Amino acid sequence: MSALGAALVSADLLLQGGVVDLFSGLVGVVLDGLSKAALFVLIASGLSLIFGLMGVLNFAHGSLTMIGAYLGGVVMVVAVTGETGGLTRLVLFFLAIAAVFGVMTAFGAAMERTIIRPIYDRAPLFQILLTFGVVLVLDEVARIVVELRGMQPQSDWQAALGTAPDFLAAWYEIAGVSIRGLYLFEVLVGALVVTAIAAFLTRTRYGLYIRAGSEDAEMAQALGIDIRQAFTVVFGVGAGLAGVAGVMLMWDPRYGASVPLGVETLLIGFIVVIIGGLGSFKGTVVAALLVGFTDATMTWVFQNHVSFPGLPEMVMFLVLVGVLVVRPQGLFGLAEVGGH
Amino acid sequence: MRLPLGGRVVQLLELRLAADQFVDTLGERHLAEHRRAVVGVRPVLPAFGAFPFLDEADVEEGEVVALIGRNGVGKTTTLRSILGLTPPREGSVRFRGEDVTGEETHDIARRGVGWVPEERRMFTHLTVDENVRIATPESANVPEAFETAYSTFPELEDHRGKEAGDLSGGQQQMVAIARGLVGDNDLLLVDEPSEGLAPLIVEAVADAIRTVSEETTVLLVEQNFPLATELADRYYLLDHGTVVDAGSTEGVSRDDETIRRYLSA
Repeated sequence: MSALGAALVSADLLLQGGVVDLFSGLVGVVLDGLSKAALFVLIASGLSLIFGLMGVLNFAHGSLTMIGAYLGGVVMVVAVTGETGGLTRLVLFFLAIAAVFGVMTAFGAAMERTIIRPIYDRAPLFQILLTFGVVLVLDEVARIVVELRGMQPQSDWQAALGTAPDFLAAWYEIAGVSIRGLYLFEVLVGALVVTAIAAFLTRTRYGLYIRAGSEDAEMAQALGIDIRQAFTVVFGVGAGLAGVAGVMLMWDPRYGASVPLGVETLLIGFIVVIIGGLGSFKGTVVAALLVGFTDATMTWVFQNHVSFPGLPEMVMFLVLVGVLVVRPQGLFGLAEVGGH
Repeated sequence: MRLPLGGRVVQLLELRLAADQFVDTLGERHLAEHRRAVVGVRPVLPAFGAFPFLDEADVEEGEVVALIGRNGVGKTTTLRSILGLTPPREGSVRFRGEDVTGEETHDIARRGVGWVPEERRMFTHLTVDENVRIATPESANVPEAFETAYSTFPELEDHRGKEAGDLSGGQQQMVAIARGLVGDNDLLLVDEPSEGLAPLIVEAVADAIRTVSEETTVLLVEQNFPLATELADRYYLLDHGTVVDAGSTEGVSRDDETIRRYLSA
């Protein structure tokens, strides 16, 4: 009995240890995945709504996130000092989010009015060239400003990191896994924004206009709907959401406020929007979850098993390629979007 | 038969459109073979090149007026010009005596001009209810609009929660007309309502237009000549950019010399 029994017991122990490891690993991946999905949905929903309604693929979307990150950082760095109490920091933090949302929404609306509006009726190439030009301008302006302040545009803004309210900087324990407060907060914001957008689209009159306009803007106009105004509103809110995502990315050790953040988030936004199906909000949410979990899983694999830092990004692109091969219009995409 | 409201004839719509309005957007080519239509009968000004500038097409309150003519003479473009979707390059559109040329489409629509477009243009991913609701002006009462729509088209009542894209062609046409009906419109522009529908369904759609025309003035584009003359009080016959004939539909037949000439292919 003894030899067999000992073997069984040790196998059992091994298995138990393995299960515990696997379980905590799984919880870690789920939490990481959820927080990434929440960020991705914030970045991509504006991109998706704008494309759905106006048929414009906004290359400058990532740059808006990058500017949002710096703007949020500016508010916090200016307002928060070493003596600032926890509660004040918290209030300032929400003020920073509100301010960035306001400023970026106004900026997006102004951008739509001045430069996007004249090219709606042009070929998509014009829109791509124009918004790509905006990327170059915004990134260069950001680089100049950042360098004038004596900071490194390529690396994360360290001073901003220290301004996080306590609950974001703290670690919490969930099912044996430690997780940053920030990540939990990201999940919360993501869930709130998804719920709010879904309710806006399905429950409000204006949301109805947007859904109708996404399918046939001309018909919507002929029913007395000021669709151009809806264009401005959607472009503005999309830009505002991108900015809010930036504020959270500023503190996120996985990202951080830097000029290259724009391109990095734009790429993620495109992957999410294309996988979900251009113009489908439901698709964007599902794809953000898919891409978030893929990223989290592959990051875990990279940290524990495979020594290849490019793994998460590579697998995300493989998922993208796979979806495009099987379903070129994306998971929830319609054959035709951009209703004008 | 004219149905002047309040016992007097009120001019609702007056069109003055340049002939070259109907040249394709590239403009410079195919002028000869491109069909140009102008609503009107009397040349007023010499305009672009050889194409005269014409006027005097009008629609009076309470009437049903049909625009007839072969494919491509610009009947649909005329309706689009009224709505500002294809803004008149020259000429003017007057609604209730006011010049609405160059106004934004949604402003023209809010003045009380409704559109039942060619191919129905459903919002296919919205439900029937949502299609009706979106056509209801902001100030109007939505439950009342539903009541109006579904009492006029009882058949739609059972499909209220369905996506409009899942309806049959005839049902979609009814939704399209219902959208025009609940829009509190004084003038309804109805484009090819019978197109692509089975004869039995066409009869139902014709009934619907008859019902609607009791409330609203209708400018109708219709290929089906007997249907057009049956529904309309007056007609304008278009060809090659001009109105070649106009008058009351009473006693008009397809065999009439002018009509046969301009309608046969």
